Amino acid sequence: MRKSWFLTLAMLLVIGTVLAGCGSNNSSSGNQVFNMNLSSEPPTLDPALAQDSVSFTVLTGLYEGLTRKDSTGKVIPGVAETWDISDDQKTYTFHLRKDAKWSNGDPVTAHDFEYAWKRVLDPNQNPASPYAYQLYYVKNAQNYNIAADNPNHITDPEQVGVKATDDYTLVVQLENPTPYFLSITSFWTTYPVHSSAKDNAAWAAEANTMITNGPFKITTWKHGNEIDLVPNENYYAKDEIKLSKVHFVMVSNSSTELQMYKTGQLSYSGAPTGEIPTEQIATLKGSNPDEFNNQATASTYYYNFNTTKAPFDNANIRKAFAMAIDRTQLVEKVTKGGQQPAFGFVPPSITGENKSFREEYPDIDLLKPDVAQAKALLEQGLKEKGLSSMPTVTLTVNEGTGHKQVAEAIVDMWRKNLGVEVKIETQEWKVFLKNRQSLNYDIARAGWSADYNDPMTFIDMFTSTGGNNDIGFKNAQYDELVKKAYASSDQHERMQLMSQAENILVKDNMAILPLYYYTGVHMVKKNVKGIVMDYQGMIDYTRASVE
Amino acid sequence: MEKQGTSDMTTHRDGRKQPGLTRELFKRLSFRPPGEMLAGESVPEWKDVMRRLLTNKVAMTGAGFLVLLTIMAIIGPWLTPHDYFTNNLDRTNEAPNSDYWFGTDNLGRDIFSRIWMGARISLTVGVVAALIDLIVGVVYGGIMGYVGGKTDEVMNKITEILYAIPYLLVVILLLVVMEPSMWTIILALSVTGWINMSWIVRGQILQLKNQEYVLAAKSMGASGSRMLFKHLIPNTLGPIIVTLTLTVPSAIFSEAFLSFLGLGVQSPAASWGTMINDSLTSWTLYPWQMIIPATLISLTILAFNLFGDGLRDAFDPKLKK
Amino acid sequence: MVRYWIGKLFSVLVSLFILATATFFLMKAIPGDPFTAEKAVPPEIKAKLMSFYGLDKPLWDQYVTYLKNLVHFDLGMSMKSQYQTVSSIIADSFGYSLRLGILSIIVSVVVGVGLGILAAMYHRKLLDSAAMILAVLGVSVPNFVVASLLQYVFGVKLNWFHVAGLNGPLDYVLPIIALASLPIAYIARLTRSTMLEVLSAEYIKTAKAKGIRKRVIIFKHALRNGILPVVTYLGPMTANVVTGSVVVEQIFGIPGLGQYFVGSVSNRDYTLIMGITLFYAVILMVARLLTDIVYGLVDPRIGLRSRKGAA
Repeated sequence: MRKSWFLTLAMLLVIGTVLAGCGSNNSSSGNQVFNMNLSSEPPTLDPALAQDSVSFTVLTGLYEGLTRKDSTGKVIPGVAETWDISDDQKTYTFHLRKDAKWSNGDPVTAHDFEYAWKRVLDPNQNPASPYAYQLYYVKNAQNYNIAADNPNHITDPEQVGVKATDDYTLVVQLENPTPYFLSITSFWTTYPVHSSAKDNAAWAAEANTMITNGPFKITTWKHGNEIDLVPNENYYAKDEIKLSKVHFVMVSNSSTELQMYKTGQLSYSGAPTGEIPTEQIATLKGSNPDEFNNQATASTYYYNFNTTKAPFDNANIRKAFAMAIDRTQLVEKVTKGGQQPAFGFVPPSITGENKSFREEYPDIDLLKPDVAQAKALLEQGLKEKGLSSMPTVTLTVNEGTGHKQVAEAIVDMWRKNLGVEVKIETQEWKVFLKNRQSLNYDIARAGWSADYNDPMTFIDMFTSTGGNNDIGFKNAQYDELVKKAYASSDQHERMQLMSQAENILVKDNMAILPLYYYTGVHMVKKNVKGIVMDYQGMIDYTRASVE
Repeated sequence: MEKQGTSDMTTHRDGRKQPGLTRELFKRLSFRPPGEMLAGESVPEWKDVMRRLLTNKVAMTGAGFLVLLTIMAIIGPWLTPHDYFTNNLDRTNEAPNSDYWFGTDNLGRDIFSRIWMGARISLTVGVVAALIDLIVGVVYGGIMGYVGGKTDEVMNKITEILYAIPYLLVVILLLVVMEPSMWTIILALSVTGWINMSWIVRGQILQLKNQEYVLAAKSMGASGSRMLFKHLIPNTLGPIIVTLTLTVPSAIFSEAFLSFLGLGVQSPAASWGTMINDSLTSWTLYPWQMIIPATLISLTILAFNLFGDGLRDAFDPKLKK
Repeated sequence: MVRYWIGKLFSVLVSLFILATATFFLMKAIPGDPFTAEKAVPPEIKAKLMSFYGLDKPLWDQYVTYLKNLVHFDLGMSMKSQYQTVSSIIADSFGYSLRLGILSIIVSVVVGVGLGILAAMYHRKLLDSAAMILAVLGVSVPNFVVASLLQYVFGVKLNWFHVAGLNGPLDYVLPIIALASLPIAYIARLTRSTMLEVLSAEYIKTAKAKGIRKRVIIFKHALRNGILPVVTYLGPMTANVVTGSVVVEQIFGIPGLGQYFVGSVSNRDYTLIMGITLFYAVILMVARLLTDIVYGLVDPRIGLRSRKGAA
């Protein structure tokens, strides 16, 4: 009998403790609250270390760089009020506004930028900044950043071309004329960092140690759970800020995210940090046309051919595979997110000389789907390789239902149009990347998104020495064109050179198989105004309001 | 995960006299009148077991369903003109109709033929994983129980350590390291799956070991392995078979669970688990894409459970009152 | 008794050591590293990152360092979440999983045993069939299907509960049902069959003959024996709840340890993988020990020592 008393008591104790832990924190639902899903914990909120869309999305609210982008994507003044550009386009002088303040009230000075940029480039910075190359346009930056095996290594940070000449003037010297440099100065890696970061390496790991200069400041960071931002009362343009709170949750399941949106737990759902399930898109578009949006973003979905390995070391076979695909059917029936069929590599939202690059150099000239010609090319290619029939090849994709479906649809098109059987292999993400980088595949899925608004962010990828050239493509003429474009300060010439390079990559060699240009499918509640999605597909919620 | 925990099924069946042991302790185990027993008898009365099983309507319904399912898994895909992999992008997400009996999926593939191809995979995963558990578990458990002493202690320790490894981790690591395929999944499921079986067999053997007919056979010079495989293991068949019928559904379940985590079989093939998982984002719009595989998986697991229960009752009718 | 506990403790430590070793090398055998990304990090920078986390050292060296730290209860830093220690990640997230887990276990036992007793008391009556149909459903529907259905019906359609999150007591209801449906079914069936058996036993019959009321018989005499197999099931059930929570946490957006478990492997967050594995292993072992103890308390026939050998 005593034992059962003991058991009952123990049970009651456990229940009591458990229930006591339950009734905590109800998320407040004030008027001006913007609720968004990040899907996962941001790996870091240190601008120097951030490299993913989740971290970037939070940082957008917390920081402001020298420049910002307005709702049309145009560069507008941020912390820098004005700037002068030298005639050779290699020296930029930024004049900072005097009323910019950190969240603790300290003024934001040019020294904070100099410190932050040199911190990104510091060879002894640990962990190293993965996006340091965003600052390699700055004079001597690369040679300062890279110490190992670099005979030109510079040890003196003073030689790096960024200098605060007084509290409110920042002078930046560049290696080459870089027409898109101003857009770089709104990029996350170039945000200023408060000097208190010197004393605490882990300053960006908890809410209470973060001092930021943006429209919002962080009040809560429950790791793996939620992040709360509230307006920064020291922000110079605090009158423009209407939201009283930005509430981020971290829910990884996309159907849960949609249900939360539907029941009002979220004000925003979908790209860039969430996902709207493909099969739901058509219905949602029909039922909530005012909330649905599928803006084009500067990313391309394509397949890699392993150009170093038979049979795809043959251009005709590659062309045959590329021409046998009905991209219109693919985007309308499979991906369904309003994506645009891709026949080139540079996506339409990348700016060219005057209009978008794609308007100036249409991709329709690069690749024309034609089943009959595809068959002929395949036959010719096989003959060139001395093959009687198409050997078994594998299409490797990474996990994620979307990729699998695209692969299945495409393999079916090859089967129907070319009469070839292609095996699909789904690999876990990092295994997949490893195999792709070491050219251990026949055909592999790939996607590339812009780092800056210029075709170069796509084109320089496939130079012989490009760190992301994982198709084994080596073409001297291509390398030469890219080199010329780098050195040129004439926009017209640059665009022509890059267009010629794209011609070599796609039209002449079909080294990659373009499929479609991405869209940022998302939904915003009708009463939330002022959310802006930029050309990259990242969103700016800082000027949003709830009606 | 459902790979553990069939310990309620470790029915202690032996049905023999237990001289020297308290009557109370083994009361629940003796179900036959003592007079029927013969020393040296080594196989249960299959006739009785079969008779009890065949007259158990519920168990027979389960068995009937499983037979039907197996037949459909074999011939199902041939019953319709549509194969399981060809896309028909003009007819995606169709509800069941006269052309596509179970409707189509998001690529316009015929769900009817996919379901039966999926049945092949799900059933193969379930049965093969259970068979591997059986073989490894019986041999390992048999040795543990029969040899005893230090060997038993060490071997038992090993199983306890293996049991403490988070099963999910092993499976995920394995599926990441190896090329994902049906066989990898089976292997992953078997890595720790056999432990429970080995414990059951060990327990049974320990009980049987000191019984008269075993001691008699031993004294007549029967060799160890002959003892083990000729006399001891056949006598533990009841619990083993029962455990087996309950391991199959848990393996099918586990496979579905892995599909949920994105670790399922490779396309265009699909198991029921991957079919359910693929439909999780869209079932509110196209409910048949989830309901059909989910119903089949539930019915199959139910059928295995009913049949397993029936088998247990047949081996140990005392339980069925 | 003391020797028994020392022995137990020793074997737990040995198990953990073997487990740590096995996981360490298995984990390192997976292709890829924490810094593989779609946009390849320049090789020089990657080399710096690898050396910062000690991943450039020989494997053996890494292993010894890891074990040394482990002895000091230092699980290291996460390689994915900057400047988060593995211990703090586990501490932050496990609270949710623990609350959910314990509540589910309690609900499973209470409801399961209740259903089982009802079914046994009203054997072959309507209530029995109803309870068993419920139990059968619980065993045969995959829990991610249960969770999705619950979420849609009660969260979206009826709007009774939040579809995700764990911010108030009500938010626990759906995840607990999803998590407990299988164990409830299992326990109900277990309890029913043992209760039936016990109720037909001699001593109960004697009690009945003496005219003791049915309720008294059930709760005073039969239940005690009937609950034994349920106790044995507690160990496996803990494992069940632990892994089941991966699914339920994902569907209900609960920031528990389960989501880190799968994520740590796909991120190759080596220190986090190790930390969570060891942590789960300790929980499973503790659950097993507790099972032994509770079993000893409930069943007077079996002392701790004699349980040792039995599975």
